[in-house]
Amino acid sequence: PWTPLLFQAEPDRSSRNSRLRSFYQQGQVESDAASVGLNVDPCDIDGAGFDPEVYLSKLLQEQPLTSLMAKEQQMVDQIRQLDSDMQTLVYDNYSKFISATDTIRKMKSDFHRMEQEMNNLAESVSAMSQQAADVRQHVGGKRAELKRLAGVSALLHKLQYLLDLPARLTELRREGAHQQAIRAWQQADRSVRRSAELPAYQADPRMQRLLGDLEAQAGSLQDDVLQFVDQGCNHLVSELCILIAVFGDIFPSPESRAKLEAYHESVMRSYLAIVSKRFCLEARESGGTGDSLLVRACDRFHRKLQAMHRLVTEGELSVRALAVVCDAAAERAAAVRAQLDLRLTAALSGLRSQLATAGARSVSLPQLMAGLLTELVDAVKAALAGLQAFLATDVSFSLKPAFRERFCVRAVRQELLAGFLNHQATQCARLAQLSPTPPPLLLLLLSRYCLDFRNSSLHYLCTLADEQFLVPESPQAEALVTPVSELSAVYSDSAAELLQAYVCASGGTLAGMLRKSVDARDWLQGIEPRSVRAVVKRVVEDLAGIDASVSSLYDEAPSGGGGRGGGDRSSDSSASRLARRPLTAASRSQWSATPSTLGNSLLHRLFSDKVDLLGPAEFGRASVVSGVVRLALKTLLECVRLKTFGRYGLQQVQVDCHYLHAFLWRYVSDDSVVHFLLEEILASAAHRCIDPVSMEQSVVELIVERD
Amino acid sequence: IKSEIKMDIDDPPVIYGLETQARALCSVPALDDSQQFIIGTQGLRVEHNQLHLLTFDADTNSVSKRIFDHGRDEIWSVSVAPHNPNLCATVFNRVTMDSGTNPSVAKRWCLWKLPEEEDNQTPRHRNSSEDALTSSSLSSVESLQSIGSIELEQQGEPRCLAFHPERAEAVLVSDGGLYQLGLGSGAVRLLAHLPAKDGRSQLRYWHAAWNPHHSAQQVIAACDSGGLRGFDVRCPPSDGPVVVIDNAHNGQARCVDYNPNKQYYLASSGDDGAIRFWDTRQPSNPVKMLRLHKHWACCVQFNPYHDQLVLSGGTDAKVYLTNNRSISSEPVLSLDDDLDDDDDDDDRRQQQPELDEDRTVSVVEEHEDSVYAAVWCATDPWLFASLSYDGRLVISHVPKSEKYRILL
Repeated sequence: PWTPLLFQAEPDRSSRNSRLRSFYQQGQVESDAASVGLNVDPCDIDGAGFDPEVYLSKLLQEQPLTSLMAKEQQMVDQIRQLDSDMQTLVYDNYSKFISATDTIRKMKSDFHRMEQEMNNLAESVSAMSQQAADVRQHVGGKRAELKRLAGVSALLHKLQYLLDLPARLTELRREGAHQQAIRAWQQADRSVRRSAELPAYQADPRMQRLLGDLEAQAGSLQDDVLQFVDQGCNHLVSELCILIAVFGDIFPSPESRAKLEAYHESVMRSYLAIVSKRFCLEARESGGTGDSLLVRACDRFHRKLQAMHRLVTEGELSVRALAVVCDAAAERAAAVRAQLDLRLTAALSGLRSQLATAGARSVSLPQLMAGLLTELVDAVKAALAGLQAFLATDVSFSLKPAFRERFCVRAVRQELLAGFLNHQATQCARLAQLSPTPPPLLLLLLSRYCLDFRNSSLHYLCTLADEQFLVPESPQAEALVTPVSELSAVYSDSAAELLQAYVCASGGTLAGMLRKSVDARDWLQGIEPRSVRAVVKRVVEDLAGIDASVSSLYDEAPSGGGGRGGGDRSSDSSASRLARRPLTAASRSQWSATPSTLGNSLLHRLFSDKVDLLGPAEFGRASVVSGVVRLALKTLLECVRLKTFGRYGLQQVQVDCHYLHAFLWRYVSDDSVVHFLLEEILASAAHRCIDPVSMEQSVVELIVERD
Repeated sequence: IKSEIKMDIDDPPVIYGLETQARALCSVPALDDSQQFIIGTQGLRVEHNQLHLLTFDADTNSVSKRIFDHGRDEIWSVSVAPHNPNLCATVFNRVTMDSGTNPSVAKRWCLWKLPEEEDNQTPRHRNSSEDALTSSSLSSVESLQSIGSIELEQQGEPRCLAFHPERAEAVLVSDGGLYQLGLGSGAVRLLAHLPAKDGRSQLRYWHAAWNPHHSAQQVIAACDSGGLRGFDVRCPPSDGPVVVIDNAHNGQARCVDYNPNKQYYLASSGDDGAIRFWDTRQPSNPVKMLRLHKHWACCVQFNPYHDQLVLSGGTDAKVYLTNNRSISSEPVLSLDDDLDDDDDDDDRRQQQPELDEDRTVSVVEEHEDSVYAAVWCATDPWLFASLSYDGRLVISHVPKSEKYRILL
């Protein structure tokens, strides 16, 4: 809509433009106003609510023709004017439009190029962020470290300043710049006062970390023990040394010295404990080859700490380091001892199964025994030789008296050697007390073994250890070591106990056979004896086997006891022992298989010394076998006393006793005991007989002769 | 005071001799607390076997005796009822000659009543150890009154009879097993039979003992296989043993005895010469073992009052008196030790280290033949007797030093 003002005022472009602008703004307002129905004048040609019909009819009604004509003219002019205005406007704006279109086109092409550049930029940025991430990743872990390093560096700078301060102060004073000196001092004083409150030193966390690392390593055998020592020495000990040196220079006052010592003491205590733990672990767990490595590690450790000891004279570092080494060495000795114990157990059980599977005659007892002796003596020697690595001349601690006392005397000589030797003897003796009893041959063999070990190897091994480990002959050392004589006594006791157990076991076997046979038989009824009972023959046969086993290990006479008993028998071969007693007139007059009366028996007792029937066996074939015989006969006696005999029962006993008398004499050391027992058996049988009529001696001899 | 006591000399043992062999010995729980033992002779071909009731007089250190006739039957075992000292049982051997030459021998058992003592008529004959061997003929012989015996099925050979410690009951040990007998109301009757079977294998029992604890409902027997079998008499016999200790001894188990003061504990002896102590709750291993005897250990008995004292006799003619304090009911520390400081206690132990150690107290060396029986006096804890096969009875005292060590 055009405003009538446009026609009334001078047509002016600029004013027109401003009017246009104001129109648009007003129009906006007016359209708003029209919509609410305000100021609507249908006759205002420039108004929004202009109605041509109403305007025309109003003009026609109110104006005369002339004014109408004038009006028409005026309106035609105005229309023409407006058209031309419009044309001008259109042209005017068109050129602007063209130029705007051009501009837009140009912008379009420009934007295109810009977009390309933007893309490039985005690519570059993303690449950069990628690289940044990479960098962060690489650097990330070390950031704390870097930060710390930076902090440390800063701290060091500060420290450097503090360290340089005394020199600088002196310098300044000499130069006379007291003002400057005081300022420098004040500055330093503040920071020093601040850090004076700190309980520990800046180095402590590092020490703790090193200790922690070492402790972690000490728990496992993964790392080489040498490496472990190196790490400890090179890092922890060295740093500690530096710390001590530097600290001592800076803070010479006694209080700070005490503080340092306390700190140093705590670190060293932990360190020594850790090293001791690691060494002991090494000593325990490493196999037979561990010695040299452990020794080298100990040596290195000891040297390093000795060096440190020169620096720090307090706290007896050297002594304590030596104690750690001693502990490790002693632990190693204990480990070796444990291995020896295992070896012994294995050897004994091996021997046991060997004897259990093989028959008594198919194995050579002396050979087995010699094998056992060699095996165990060699094992002990090897163990001692292995431990000698600790005493090599190039080892720094090998000559220390404390080490010698602890390791050589106590650990090796006493705990390892004397301990093992004692253990071996008691271990063997323990078998004698086992129930059920182990194979008798094992007992016999071990008894001889103990004896032989005592005689041959005990002294040898002890002397060897004394020499190899340079055990001094001082009273102090002797007080620490079980004397050889005591060990020797233990071995003798074990041997005697084992031998006694053997006598009991094999005598018990024979006794059991006799007991069962006596129990099972009806002695009251029965026919006249024609032969020796089978079980009695069996006993004699078994006795031959026992005799063979015993004589393969034991000599005729008790060793060391002097030739007691039949010296003439020792020349006999064992085969001749199976021969019967030569029936000389002398032997016949000595003994007849006729039961003496009870009165005689009492008389016999009155006039003979009390016979120790079942005394301990001595270390000699005759004594051992006669112990077996006595046990068997004593049992026979007791069994006979529990029975009641008829006439023929008694005569059977007579025959059996005579047979035994004829064959047993060769096995016994003291014939009189066998005589006595056989007599007692006969007397008891006669006493327990309801019809005591004995057999003619000649008939008895005939029957025995025939068998 | 102590030193004076130690200076005291121990009374010498008293020896009493029989003319025949003997195995049977029992302590008599006399009502007047006199110290009495009863022994039986074992003479196979003797006209008159005898029971000798011996009363020990501590003041004169001598014995007086009463003798009872047991006829031709040789005595293998004798036992006296704990609740009635006049009631005794013997196991004996009777030889019968049936028509002609075939003799037969049978083991039997019988309950007897010992006649009351008539003071004025038969004064006790005193004899000291010197004339012991010759004096028996001088005293008059009394006769026994048989109470009875019953024939039992599959009895086999009886071994011994163990009276119940409280009730009028007994258990007869024989080849056929254990026979629980009721002895009340003047007649013997069979209450239960525990056959000597172990699965399929046949056992032979040698000796048995009642468990004195828990009103004595259990009895344990020693077997010839070396094992021990305990039964609860409240259970039916088919239930089998409640205590099984196999291989208690290598060879035959000869004797078994319950600890009178410590329940579950018992001792056994056997042919391997060992004395073993057992806790019936852990039968796999002995609590303790003593190897003193060189041949069979025939008997073992706890002192009825001081159970650390254990007596054992064996065929090596030795009787051992041992103190086994470590496994006895005696506390390790006496009451005043507890009140003392530890240091004090240690000091004391160091001074007398032997106090707490188990040890052999004494050995009776007076026997020359196998000892088959050794018993404590039922009325005096410091007196015991042992009997060897040659008929020698030795009445011995616990050494005074040991006695005062236990009492003080």
